Amino acid sequence: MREANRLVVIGVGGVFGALSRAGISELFGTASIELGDQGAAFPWATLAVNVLGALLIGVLAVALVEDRGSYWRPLLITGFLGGFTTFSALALEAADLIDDNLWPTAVLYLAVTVGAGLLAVRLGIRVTQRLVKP
Amino acid sequence: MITIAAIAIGAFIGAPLRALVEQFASRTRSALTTLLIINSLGSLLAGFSLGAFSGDVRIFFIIGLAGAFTTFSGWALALATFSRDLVESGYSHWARFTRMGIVIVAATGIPLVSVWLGWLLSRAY
Repeated sequence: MREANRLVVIGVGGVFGALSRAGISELFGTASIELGDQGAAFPWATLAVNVLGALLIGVLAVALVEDRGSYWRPLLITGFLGGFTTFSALALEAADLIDDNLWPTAVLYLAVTVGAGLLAVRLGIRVTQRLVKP
Repeated sequence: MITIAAIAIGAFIGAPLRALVEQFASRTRSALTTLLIINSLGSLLAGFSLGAFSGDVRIFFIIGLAGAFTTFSGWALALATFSRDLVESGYSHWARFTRMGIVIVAATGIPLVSVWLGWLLSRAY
């Protein structure tokens, strides 16, 4: 696989991932983020996207473990899931909550995302291992 | 339509850029450290863009570029691997708990501070 091709494949996966994330965010009707004002809402959309993405990366890490040299890993893992899930929005939304003096909500948001994300990865790995090796 | 294009173009740059930084940094750094660097740089950009831009330009940088450059799924997978390795390394419960705690606080805290730094930077400029 040529390096330039790999990067293009990652880019294509990333575009679909980012647009899916934006679509889900639209579905949830997420409020816009502004520092220096009030009105931060709990970021359900990003939480859902990140936990779902963590579940899927657990599934794909097992399902594609023997897959070397094909375009599936760069397309789906590095591209799609990498672009679908996000850390900058997580940090931005937590900062917005703190900016509104909602410290406990910000800490809760970070803790729930990390905790549920970790559980989702493990669940994805376990379930797929069972399916692959019954 | 322009908004969708702004997100798509941002992601088409952000995701491959992450792969390049990952490839470069992972030669000398662990997966968790590599992703911490990536997520902090992306958060810095997101914080800066929040203060510096508006409309579709802001969407291009925050939702498209920084959104696709940073990642949570890869980080969660690396954290799960780290936690499994800790169990296998035979540390005590307390030592494992402390190590996981430090990694999680650093991995969330440093990007969070980066958002503020980026935002302050945009105010100065």
